[in-house]
Amino acid sequence: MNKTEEEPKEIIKPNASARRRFMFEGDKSKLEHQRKELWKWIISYLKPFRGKFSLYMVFLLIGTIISALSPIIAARIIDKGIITGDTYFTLFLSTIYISLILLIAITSYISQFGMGKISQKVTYEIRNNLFFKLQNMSLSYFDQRSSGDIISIATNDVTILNQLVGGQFVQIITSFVSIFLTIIFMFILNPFLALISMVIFPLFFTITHLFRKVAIGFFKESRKTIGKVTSSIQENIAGAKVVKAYGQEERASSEFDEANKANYYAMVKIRKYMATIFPLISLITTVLTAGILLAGGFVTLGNVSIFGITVSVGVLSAYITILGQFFRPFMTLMQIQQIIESAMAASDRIYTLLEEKAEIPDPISAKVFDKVDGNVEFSSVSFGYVFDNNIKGDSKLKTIKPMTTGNDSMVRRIPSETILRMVKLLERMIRSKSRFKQSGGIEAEGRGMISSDMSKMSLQSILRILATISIPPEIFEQIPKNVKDTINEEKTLIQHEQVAGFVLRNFSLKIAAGTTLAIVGETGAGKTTITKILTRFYDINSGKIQIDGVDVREVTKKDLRSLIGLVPQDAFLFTGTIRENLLYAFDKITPEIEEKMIRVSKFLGLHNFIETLHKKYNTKLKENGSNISIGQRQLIAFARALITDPKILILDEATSSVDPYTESLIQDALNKARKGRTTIIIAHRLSTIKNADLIIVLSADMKRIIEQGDHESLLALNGKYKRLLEMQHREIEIDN
Amino acid sequence: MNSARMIFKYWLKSKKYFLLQFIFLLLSTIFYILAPIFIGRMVGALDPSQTISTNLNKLLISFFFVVLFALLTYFFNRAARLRGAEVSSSAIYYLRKDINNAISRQSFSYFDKTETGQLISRTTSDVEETQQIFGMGLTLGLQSTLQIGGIFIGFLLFSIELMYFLIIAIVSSLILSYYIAKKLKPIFLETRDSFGDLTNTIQENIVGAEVVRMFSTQNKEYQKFLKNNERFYNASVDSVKYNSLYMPTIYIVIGFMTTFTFIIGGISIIEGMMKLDTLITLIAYNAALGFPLMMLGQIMLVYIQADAALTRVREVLESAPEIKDLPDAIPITSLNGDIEVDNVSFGYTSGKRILKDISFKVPSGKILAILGTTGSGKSTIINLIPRFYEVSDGSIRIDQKNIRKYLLKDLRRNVGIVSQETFLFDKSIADNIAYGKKDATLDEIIEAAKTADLHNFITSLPKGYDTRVGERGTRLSGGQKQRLSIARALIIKPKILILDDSTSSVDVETEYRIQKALSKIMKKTTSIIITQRISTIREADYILILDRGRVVGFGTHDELIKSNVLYKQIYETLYQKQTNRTNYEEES
Repeated sequence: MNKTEEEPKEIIKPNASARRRFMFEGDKSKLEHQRKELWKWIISYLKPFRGKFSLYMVFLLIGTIISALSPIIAARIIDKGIITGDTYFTLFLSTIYISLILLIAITSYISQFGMGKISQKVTYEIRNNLFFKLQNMSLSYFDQRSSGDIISIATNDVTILNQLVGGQFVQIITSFVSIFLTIIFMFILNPFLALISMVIFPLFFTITHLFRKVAIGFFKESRKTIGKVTSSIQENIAGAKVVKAYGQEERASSEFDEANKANYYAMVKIRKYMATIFPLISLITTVLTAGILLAGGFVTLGNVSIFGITVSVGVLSAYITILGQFFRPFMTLMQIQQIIESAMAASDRIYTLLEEKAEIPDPISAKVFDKVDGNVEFSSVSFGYVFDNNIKGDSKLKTIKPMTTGNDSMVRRIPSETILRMVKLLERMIRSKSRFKQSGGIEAEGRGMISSDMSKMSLQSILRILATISIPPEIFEQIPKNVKDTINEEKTLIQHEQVAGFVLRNFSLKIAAGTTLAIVGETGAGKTTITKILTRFYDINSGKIQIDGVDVREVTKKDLRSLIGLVPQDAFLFTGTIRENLLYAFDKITPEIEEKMIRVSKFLGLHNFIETLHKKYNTKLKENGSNISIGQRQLIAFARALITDPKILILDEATSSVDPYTESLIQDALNKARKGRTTIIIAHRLSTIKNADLIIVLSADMKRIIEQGDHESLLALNGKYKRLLEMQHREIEIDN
Repeated sequence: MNSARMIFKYWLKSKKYFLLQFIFLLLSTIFYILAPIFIGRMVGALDPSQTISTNLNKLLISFFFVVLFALLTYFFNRAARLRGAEVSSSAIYYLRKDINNAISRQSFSYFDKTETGQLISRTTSDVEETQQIFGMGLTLGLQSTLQIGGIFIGFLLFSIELMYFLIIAIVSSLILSYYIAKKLKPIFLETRDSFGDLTNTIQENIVGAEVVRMFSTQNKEYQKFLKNNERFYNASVDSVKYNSLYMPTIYIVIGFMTTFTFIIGGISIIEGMMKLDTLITLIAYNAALGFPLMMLGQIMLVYIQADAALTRVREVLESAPEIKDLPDAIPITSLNGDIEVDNVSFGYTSGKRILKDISFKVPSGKILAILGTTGSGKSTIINLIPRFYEVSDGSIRIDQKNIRKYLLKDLRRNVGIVSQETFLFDKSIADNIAYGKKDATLDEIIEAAKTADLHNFITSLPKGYDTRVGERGTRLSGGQKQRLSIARALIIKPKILILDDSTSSVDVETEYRIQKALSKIMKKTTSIIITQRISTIREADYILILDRGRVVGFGTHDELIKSNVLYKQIYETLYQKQTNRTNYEEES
């Protein structure tokens, strides 16, 4: 149920089939949380409605009791009124009967509406909390999940929970009460007939069991086929122009037809199965009723008295009514497991999301920038996405595969005494390290005890070895606790590195105010990462980043980000007008700001394009600006960033092919915009790089800067920079 | 056409099953209505005024009939539902098929006008929303109507007085259901709308999380979300308000009916005008009335929900294609490839002309290069040649014949076009290359791939030509996708080859190799190339310069460089830009 494959972050509409995907999920699913905890959580949302909720519950129970009771009243009418010929009594009881029915109607309306309202309010709150949570979530959360999955939690899962709180939860209770009361009344009316009626239980159980068992398989199949239909039609729409250009309409249709037919067969299969099962309920009910009447008839006619009770006409007619309605609460109860399972799975996902650690909060006494020049300094910064402080450490670790380094031959070659010797050395090193706070004189101290080559090893390398070999358990037990912990820590660290590791290691760089830095390097070298840690989308693991001498972690994120104008690689735009997008940063829009908007648009050469549009600045952009070109989107994102007058400008050049005309527009705009600003450009194009004051070349293998300087000096180096430029127009053959 | 007629139209796609279903349902209803009569008789068998043996006889015979009728009801109901399964499933099948056909009929302009996402949701989730009305609407709708009718006849037979009450009960419950459904319609639409907006806000805040954080606009977004969430909450509460009315309504209607049955039936019995059997039968009828009444109410609601979806589906089904074959269109057997564009004007919308009075000629086997800025109409003009769009004025002739006179399919099969946006199918590389030529041999595929300089890359893949390209070609780089679509265009051996800046993402060296390979093919085909590359321009026989939809220059390079100022300018800028690059490359 949880998608394991990574999906690209793209707009995925939850479709109708997804909405129903949990309905027949089948057996118990693995949950992250204890059921008790989840129930507690759900109930915590109901607490504010305690009073109303209990009131509606009482109403519902009244309704249930009365409706279970009404067949008995009907029996009285027949026995004591009609059969005895008492017109007055008949009228009297009938009036009571209809009054009770009216009471049921009223209580059931009030309670249904009331419960519905409560559950809507509850889900309203949950959705609010979810959204609020998402707003405070660190970006790494979104990196790990597809947007479709998260959306599905906030929409589908909440809807499923709503069904539980609003209807099913209550129905379960009333169904139990209803069945319980009905059985009691059946026994009160006539224990003999009641006993016979109990045959219904195994019969109904069998039916529902049959239904569940087979239906789950069928529904899975139909979901699969509907998925194929959907993807086929999606492709036919998205690729419509190609289909037409090659005149392949017939072929596209026949491929679609195949998927459509498969779905048809699956649907027919389900419906046919249901056609056999559903009318069975009516059959069982009627035959059982006839059986009861027969038994009752025998008893009466034979004048047999079982348990000293005789059967009256009224009792028989009451049985007719009772048996006719009996299956309804049954059907509800039969689905309980499914209902609760899917609701539990849904709440589990919601609760997990809500429990997720949010971004690191701003410091309590945050510093404030007064006048910013825009000096940026990275001092021995290390960062890796897997070490991110915001990730739930434990759950991530569990998924890491056990290490494979400890292969047997290795172990055999390292005798246990050597291991122990290394441990002893390590212990010494750790102790002395904590004493001297530095690792300077340790080697000398350790010498003599061990062979000379081992003494040359640093603490780090010994630790590495111990962490990578598999130590026999009996030896591991002998190791002192502090050393054990250190080894385990190192193991964890190695595992981290094996998964993804550092993106930047000991990265230091100074960018003087008002200058332009260009970052080049192959995919995965950490170019974009530098911009992400500067804007604190991610927090670094060690080192520090300063702007005008102030650590970025000491100011509020809001303050920090207001200094920076970021034009990301894939310029994301919101649904709304171009104006709304350009003025996205502003809460209140004044004429001055509007003026500025036009000024900036003109400055970037965007104004002319906007003027050609039908509604100019009020042109509505569709989802993610899909109705304008990529280049135009990028220019809008550029303008959006420039309007805030950022001291630091970051431009992550898009790799996708923008047409040469727009390319030169962006290029010119950038050359103008960077005056008076500290500018960081992730560059792919020679023309941009050439003008930069400083160029750094990052290496994906070394996780650091390998070359820096200006264009001329780097070319003269005849190194990586030159090679990268050579490859610049060549394709990176496989993206991933 | 309204939605109800549309639903019936699709049900009647399988007329035989529909009819059989109706007959079986009718039979099952008859037995369903007969059973309570014998149940009544069973109770009536307790009459103390009769002899025990008479009563015993009556009891046993009635029991036999009840069981028999129950079995027959089951049998025919099942038979009807089995037919119904066919009818409703095939209704959906045909609806989907029609939609897909409607889409494949459409012209390019339709896909420009309609948002892809919207179109997809119309063809998938909207159709799914109609599943219920096609399924439940059919069997339960028919069954409920028949059952109510049967119960009505039952009352008619046993008690005329109560029958009048029954009419009131049925009519009032139907009116109430209708009222509720009508009230719910706008609420339903509002729920859908606000839910859509809600989802969209969430989506944007996930996909655009970086932007929101960058501008610290969390609060702004939260307010936006809150507004939508409130809208959705209010609409949902409204819908609960009216939805909760269904059950109580049915309770009251059935309650009154039962009460009147007790009173009127009871008095009749007391006065000796009615037998006890009948009263029991009537009470059973009353109990049986609840379910079909409830169902009819539900179906009204389901219909109203489906109506919105079906209306949107109809929009797709009923939109007529703009470009069709003429009734006397002629097939193409062989083509020379002489292209003549004569005074052509064109606009995507009637108001705005993108191309104005364009004229030029390219003789068979020659190369035309088109130059111009973004928005000058370069891509538009090439889209007119395979009739992706219809010219507004003027005409385009191929081999001296207006292209409208050819069969559309034949025309397009002779034009190989490589457009800027390269859409690939979720199939293997080989299948993608052979897309336009189903019976292509592997050799042909390899040849095309070699010309597009893609063969080496493909063979370097572990599965070679059988490698599946990810959906929308996600696993290939931009340049590889372009090369793949070049190969796809080449394999059909087109007489006219059109390349729309199709090597923009390919590096210079590869491009050079492709060009070299192509030049052999281009000798036999007429080629139109939109490009920014100097080398391509120099190789062209003719050059067409477009500016804001007009031709501002046409001729050979030598002619133009002398006489055309604009060409000279463009040429020089491009030259500088590209030598910048090449200079550098020479340095290395």
